[in-house]
Amino acid sequence: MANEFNSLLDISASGLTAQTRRMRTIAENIANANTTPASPKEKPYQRQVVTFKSVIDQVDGANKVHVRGIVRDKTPFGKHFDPGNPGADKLGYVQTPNVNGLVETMDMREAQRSYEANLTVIDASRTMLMRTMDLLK
Amino acid sequence: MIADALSALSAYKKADALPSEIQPVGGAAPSGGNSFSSILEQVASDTVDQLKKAEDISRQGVQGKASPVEIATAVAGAETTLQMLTVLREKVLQAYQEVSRMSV
Repeated sequence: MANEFNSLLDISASGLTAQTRRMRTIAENIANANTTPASPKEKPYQRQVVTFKSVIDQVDGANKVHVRGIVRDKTPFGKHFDPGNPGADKLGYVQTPNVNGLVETMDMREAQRSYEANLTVIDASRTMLMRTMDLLK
Repeated sequence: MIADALSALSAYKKADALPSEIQPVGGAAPSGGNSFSSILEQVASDTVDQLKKAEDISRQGVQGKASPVEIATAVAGAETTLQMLTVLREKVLQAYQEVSRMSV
């Protein structure tokens, strides 16, 4: 049972790690929400999105979650009139990152809830194991 | 705590070795490989291994090499295994004392 519990811990830990990675990406998005290009030729910051994949652990055959990759969001950039900006084109428009604060907030909330769900799984399984061990006392 | 568990283990082994004439009800006595004491021994060494691993990861965590998730899961796993071992030790000691208190 202890081994089963250990692989359970590992599975939930993979979820925790994956959500942490997602949180990092969200943090990068929010931090770069105002990163405009240095010149009209360059592009502004492009929003990043994390995708997950299921990986079967060779040791205990458990389905763990891994980060498949971090891809760029293809949503078009915004435009903002700011002639004084070094990144402004001839008409005075600057391309702005395709980061939407509301979307990031919701994404962050989702990552947070998912993290909590994984923690709850760890907590619940530990309680189960403890209660079972209490039978021996 | 581990030393306690290991001494309990050796005490159990001694108890296991003593009554050679007393056979279990089921007939053939479990010898070697799969006996209860060997299982217990394995649990004890597993626990020691896991505690060492948890310590290693904690040390790496202090140095900033391991993530808090890794530390927490390693320590939680080691903690439950250790608790399992102590519960088993209690039970074994209790059984041993029970047998030694038996009047002939």
